[in-house]
Amino acid sequence: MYAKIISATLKGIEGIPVRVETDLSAGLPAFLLTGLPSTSIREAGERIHRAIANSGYSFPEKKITVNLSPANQRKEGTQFDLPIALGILAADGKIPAAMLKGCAFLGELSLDGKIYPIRGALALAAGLRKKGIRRIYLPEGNAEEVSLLEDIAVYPVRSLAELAEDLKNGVVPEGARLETAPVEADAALSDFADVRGQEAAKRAFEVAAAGNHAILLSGTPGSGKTMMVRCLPGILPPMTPDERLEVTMLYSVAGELKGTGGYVRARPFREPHHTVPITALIGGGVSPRPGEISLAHKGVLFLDEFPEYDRHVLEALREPLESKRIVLTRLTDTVAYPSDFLLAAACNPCPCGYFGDPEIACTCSPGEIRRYRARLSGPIMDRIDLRIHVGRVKYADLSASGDAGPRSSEEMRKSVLRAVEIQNARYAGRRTKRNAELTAREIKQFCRPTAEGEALLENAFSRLRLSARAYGKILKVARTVADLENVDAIDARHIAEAIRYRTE
Amino acid sequence: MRRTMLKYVTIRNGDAAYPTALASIPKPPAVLYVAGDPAVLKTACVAIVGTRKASPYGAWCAYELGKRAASYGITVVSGMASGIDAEAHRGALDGGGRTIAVLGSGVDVCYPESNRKLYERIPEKGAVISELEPGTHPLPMTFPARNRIISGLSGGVIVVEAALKSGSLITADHAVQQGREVLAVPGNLNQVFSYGCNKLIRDGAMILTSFDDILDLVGLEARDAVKEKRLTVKLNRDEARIYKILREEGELTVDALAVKTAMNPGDLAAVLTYMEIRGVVCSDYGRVFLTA
Repeated sequence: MYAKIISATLKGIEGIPVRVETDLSAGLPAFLLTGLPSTSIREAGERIHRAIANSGYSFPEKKITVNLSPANQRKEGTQFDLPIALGILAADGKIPAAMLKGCAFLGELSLDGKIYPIRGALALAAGLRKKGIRRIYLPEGNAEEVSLLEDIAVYPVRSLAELAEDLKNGVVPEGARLETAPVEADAALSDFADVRGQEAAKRAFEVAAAGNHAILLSGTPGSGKTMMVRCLPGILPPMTPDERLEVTMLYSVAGELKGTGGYVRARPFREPHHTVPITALIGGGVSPRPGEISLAHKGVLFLDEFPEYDRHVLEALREPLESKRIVLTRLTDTVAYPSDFLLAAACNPCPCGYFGDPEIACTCSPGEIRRYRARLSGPIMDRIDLRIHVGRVKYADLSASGDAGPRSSEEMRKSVLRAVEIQNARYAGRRTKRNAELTAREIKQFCRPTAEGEALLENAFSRLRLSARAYGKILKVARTVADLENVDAIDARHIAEAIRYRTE
Repeated sequence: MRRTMLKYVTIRNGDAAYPTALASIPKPPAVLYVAGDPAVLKTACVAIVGTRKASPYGAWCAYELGKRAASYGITVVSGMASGIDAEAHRGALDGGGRTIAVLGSGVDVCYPESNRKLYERIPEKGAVISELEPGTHPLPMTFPARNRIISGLSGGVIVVEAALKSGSLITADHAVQQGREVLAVPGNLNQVFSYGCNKLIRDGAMILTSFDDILDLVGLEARDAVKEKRLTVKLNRDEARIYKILREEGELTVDALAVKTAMNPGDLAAVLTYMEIRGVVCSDYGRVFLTA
């Protein structure tokens, strides 16, 4: 009168195998659930009761005890419906327990016994695979994303009745391997070829992409800030298979894989509005989910109207910018989500947007302008290496953009890719992967300028009144400029260009 | 608003220390509260005023004017507002000269607070003055009245950047009624803060063609005809091209400059840094203009 079935729960983006033990004993009919289940699991009893009855089986009129083990791990999600239902049927002798061995079961039940897709199937399956489980029964709707894991036999199931019938008859279904189609990027992103007359700004984006430097754009409305930022993912190197898997897993956990699942092919681009609450940005909630910064993992996080974001919200970005992940501590649990994103921020020169515009009068008072700018300070600005100003482009500049014509994303991506490869070789075996992440000590080691470069930097500090904080940023950016040229020594020219992108 | 324990003296109209220039205007202030050296009120003065929302060019211009005035021993008078006023005071102090700030609040009330450093620095080399009772808070109507003191103290008024409706034009009006010269810095027709200055020129104000025109206002020396500026810094080929373009086109955005020079943007950025460090160009908010 006892059955044991393997399933799994999520902790962050990690799938943790869970043993679902079911015991039927004599006594007043009851359904007892132990092992730190969440509310959605507690409610499973009613769903399972009706699903079993409506699948043509009688629900045992006994005392039913279900334990989810390890009992000290908090369980989350609706994927336990299916294993619990099967456990009851197996303990009741309706299906042979031998058929359940070595497999894992995931799925949510509807009252009529249909099996619905669940959140985080890919991460759950990956966790099960780590523990040596290679055969997984799961909802049809999740089969495609899980097919990304190549050495797993995926058994898509549609309803409890069908599945129970197969198990009863000893039918081992053929493992399905579905072609995993890419999930189209949520925005058809733009190409830099369409951005004309802004070559100086485009160069700054190239540097940002090459060294993974956070970038701040300021400019009047209509100067094309948003359009340029939307081009940014397109000049980053293509994602590696491992990156794709990790990003898809995050989207799976967040329930952001649309339709049948699939995988995330393009680098993510996330654009949370400035009213975004902190939990939506960094992740969280009673049962934690990845926030925007994790959905932007390996892609671009765009914060438009940067000074309008709540100060606490911006402060919360500091840790993930530093450690590339966010750790969320909850009453019962601690979860970590990866959040390695490239930050692009945009702001106006003043609240109305037209300060310094030659044609439209700014309506802000000097105090308003000062307060607006004061918000662009503090610790978060320390994490931003590049700053550029963009102006509205005149029609004449749009039509005549030099002899070479506007640079396309493809061209820019090629030079970015080369610079990234140089960095990969230089930082092999280190925690630091890209120039933006260099520590103070590493800056001394890898960003040593030539004598002329040093002299220029010194001169610039006194003449342009640069702050000490600017020093490290300029050297890091100069390192990237040199890498884009495939030059090892940081020359005066590289320093000079880096100085132009200084943030203060 | 914080009151400051600032030492000040009280000078009444009729006292020996009361500046004669000021005594001659219609409705001279009956009393002046002076923090700093009252003797500075009797030196040769020029007022430099303009918008609080200065463009990078305007700010540069006001600062350099202040510095130039200092080099001739001329005292710079202004209103200690943000923008042009503050830059003019700063230029005078950095040039080792004297400056007078005429406040629209009590002499012991620093407004705006963001200029507190300036407020504390000015009395060391000049004076912070006001006709208002100490402790008076600034109000919209206190400023136009103090403008008559700014022009009244000075041999002439230079307006650097001003919108059509602005306190700077009020100061210019006072100057005309008080028989003082008005000098306006001409501006780009496209720019909002040029309108006020250009209107003054149309209405008969003198036009500022070189920083040395300040001398005119205090009658120090007759001026030569307008001369073309000579560059003292040596430029390489790229720098010389950029210099030439900026001489002809005036202020440009970095992007427009990239188009006009057909230089690759990375190289252009580097060259601009070199030029900026040597004081040939100034760039702020993505716009570049010549400073030499």
